[in-house]
Amino acid sequence: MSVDPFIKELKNVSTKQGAFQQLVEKHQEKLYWHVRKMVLNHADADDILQNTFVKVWNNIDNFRGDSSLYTWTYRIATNETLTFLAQQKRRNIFSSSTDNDYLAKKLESDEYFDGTEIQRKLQEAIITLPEKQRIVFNMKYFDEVKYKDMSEILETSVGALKASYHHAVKKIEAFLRNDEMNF
Amino acid sequence: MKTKDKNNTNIAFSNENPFICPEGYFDTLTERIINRVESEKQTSTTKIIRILKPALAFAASFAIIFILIYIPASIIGNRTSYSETTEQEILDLYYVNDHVLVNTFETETQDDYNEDLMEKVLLASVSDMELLEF
Repeated sequence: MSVDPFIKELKNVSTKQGAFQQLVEKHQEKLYWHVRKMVLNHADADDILQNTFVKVWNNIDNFRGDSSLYTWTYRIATNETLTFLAQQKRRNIFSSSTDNDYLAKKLESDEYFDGTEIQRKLQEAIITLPEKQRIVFNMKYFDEVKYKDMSEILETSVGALKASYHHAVKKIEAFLRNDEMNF
Repeated sequence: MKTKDKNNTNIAFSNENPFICPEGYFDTLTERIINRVESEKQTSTTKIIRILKPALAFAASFAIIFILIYIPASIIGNRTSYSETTEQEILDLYYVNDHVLVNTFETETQDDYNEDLMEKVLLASVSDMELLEF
């Protein structure tokens, strides 16, 4: 199997920095929004994104090329995000009444949220979902990622992803119906 | 504004991203990531030094203790063995000398003793007066 010349450049000490810079420039924006929609806060997303690229830099020699470089990087970003959320949850376990209360607070105080009231409602509904369902929902609904690609990134079967998305949609609908009835 | 109904569900919101980020954020992001990677590289070197520091300190202390104990001990040890060797050599010399002397004496007595020569030597070293008195 022939190795992608760009990956060769990334693994070569003399060309690594230049190739890495290209990689960052190419994927930073997509990865930022992927992370941002999960953690909501800009500063946290920035931190996770930087950690992601540091991991890519440090582990590029271990990249076997089983998946595309973008998929691999996306997977690292997802794992970093899930680790961050788990840490946040542990930290807020005593101060929040529900699992995702801290996220609701973040959303409320986020100065970089520019959506309409209805979009805020949708976000409030999304943060009630379990993390993995949130990832699937965000990737499908906002980023329009194909199930096949999502399956590679999240290392989950297409069937499981479809089911996960379906459950997420049902929960969101229920949340919004409840919310409407309360007003 | 784009509105979509996903998977035939009743969710009919815009799927546009409602979040924004600080202006110019993506313009400097690459540079900041590269800087972060650079600083991580330095940190990892410092981390290695920090991990090895106690081991290096232990090795250095051990080396100092070794120098302080072993070198004086080896000097004293050398001195002791030198004097022991010297005494042994002297004893050997005594032993060898006795043998040499005995051998030499016996050899000289047997081979080199010459009566005529002895007479000549004695006559030369003793005066006539001494011979008369004798």
